[in-house]
Amino acid sequence: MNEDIKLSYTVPGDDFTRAGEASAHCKATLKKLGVDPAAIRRVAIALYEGEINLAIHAGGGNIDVTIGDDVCTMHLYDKGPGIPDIPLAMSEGYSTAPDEIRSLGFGAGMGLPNMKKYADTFEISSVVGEGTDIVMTVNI
Amino acid sequence: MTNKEAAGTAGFTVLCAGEERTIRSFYCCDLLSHVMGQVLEDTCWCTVMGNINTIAVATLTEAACVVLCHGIPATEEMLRRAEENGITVLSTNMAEFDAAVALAKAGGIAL
Repeated sequence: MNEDIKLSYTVPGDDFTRAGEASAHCKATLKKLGVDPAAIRRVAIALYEGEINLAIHAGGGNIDVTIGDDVCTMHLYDKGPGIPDIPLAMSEGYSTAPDEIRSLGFGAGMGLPNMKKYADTFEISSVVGEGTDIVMTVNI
Repeated sequence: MTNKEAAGTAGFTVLCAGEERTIRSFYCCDLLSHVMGQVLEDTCWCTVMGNINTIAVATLTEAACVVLCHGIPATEEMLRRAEENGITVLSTNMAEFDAAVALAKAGGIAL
């Protein structure tokens, strides 16, 4: 068994030119490791949606990625406003993104649903006023 | 049809010539999460979103190329990122659906 690879990223708030750096770096790392391209695509998309959420809604946050022999675990956490109603936030089409974010092409209300769709496991917890914590895994 | 061949189709101009890829399907949409949720690999993505995030999504989804429609200009930042990531970006005055139909006809690709 190989030792796990651990990657950590800080996502700045409201900087959409930098959001995507974690997913791009993670994608490149998985590619170097020879991981199946379909699994890499799922990791990259789920992670990018997470990065965008951190930038739009949480004023930034952190991402820790652990790449094991057969699973990639992504932990996203922030100290943002939290999510009052998680089932509502998880429903397709629901979005609280402001108009200027929508004008960039975001805010379709598909971020969290896409993360769940592409991950093999997805767990979310959130406390209003404290922040949100997401752990998702993709089998690789 | 490759993205390079698409670039030579009447009505389309090249804003950035990236890595050569074969176009296997088309997708017309401006909402990035919908694209990430639905689009297949090697898709020709027709959109009006001419910003840097378009390239991030095209890269993640392994798109064959991006077609900016309605003559919408690309930002310099977008084209710089497209070049870095090897993404082909085309421009056309056509609407998204018309652009997809024109390229599909030119390439003999079923819609």
